[in-house]
Amino acid sequence: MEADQILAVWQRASVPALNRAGLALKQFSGLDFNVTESDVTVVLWSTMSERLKKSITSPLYAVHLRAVGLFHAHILLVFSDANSQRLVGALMGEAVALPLDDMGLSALAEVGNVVGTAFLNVFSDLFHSVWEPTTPRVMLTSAESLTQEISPGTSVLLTQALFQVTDEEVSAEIVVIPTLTG
Amino acid sequence: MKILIADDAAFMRMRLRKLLEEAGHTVLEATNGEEAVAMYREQNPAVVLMDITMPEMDGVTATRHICQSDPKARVIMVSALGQQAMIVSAIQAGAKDFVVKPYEVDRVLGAINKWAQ
Repeated sequence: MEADQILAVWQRASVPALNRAGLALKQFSGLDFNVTESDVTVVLWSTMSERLKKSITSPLYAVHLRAVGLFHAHILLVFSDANSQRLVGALMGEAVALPLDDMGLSALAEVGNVVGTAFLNVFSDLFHSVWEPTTPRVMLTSAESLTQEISPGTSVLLTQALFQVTDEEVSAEIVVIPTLTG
Repeated sequence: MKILIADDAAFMRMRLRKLLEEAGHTVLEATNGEEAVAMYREQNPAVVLMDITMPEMDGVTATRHICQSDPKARVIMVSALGQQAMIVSAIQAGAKDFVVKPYEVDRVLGAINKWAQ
């Protein structure tokens, strides 16, 4: 499968996958969770990196995992540090400090795991095939250094996601980068 | 009832601990398979909730060690999507049941109650 075909499939999966992610987070945490998307577009990484640099000037937390199956992709969930703090605080049921400690990083990794798994479940239903997510890795980085890791001409799928949990609304960028070699 | 949670993810252990303590259980924690095996031998918990992917020693190997030394051990695997082959290996190693992450609270408690009886 070519990269543009993978992105097209992923784009179609976005709404049901985020619905499932919200439901899974609700069941898992016992909190009133909802995840929605406000925009899904295919953009060049250079465009994405410019957006990131403008929108997130503080350090950011990026959760990275890979999807391995009929096609492969890298998945990145990108949160500003303030949004990470609010989301983790809501999950833990108490205010948390920055930088996030091991427990906070672990909570953020679990959110990445749930969101990634939700997409892969949608694919499994569509293609009757199994995808395996890798263990999520959380990085505290900057928009500047994150954007340097990927070639500017790479096409990526960018989903603007909104996590609503109890009284908090937390925005995040979900970036999907198809890889042909895994 | 004494339950051993073996998971390298701190948040998952905290979440499970809260859930199980609210249900009236006593909770032990291990952060890898080696610790889980040692703790099982020392503490003899009624049920083990065993994550599959862990450092030092994975959950399937730990389950094999535990079930070899105690064939009546009640180990429930906690797996991620796509780990079907690992679940089969774990069941062959002696695991009694499995739950898939992200799990539903009722499913975890249901599995514990089923095997604790």
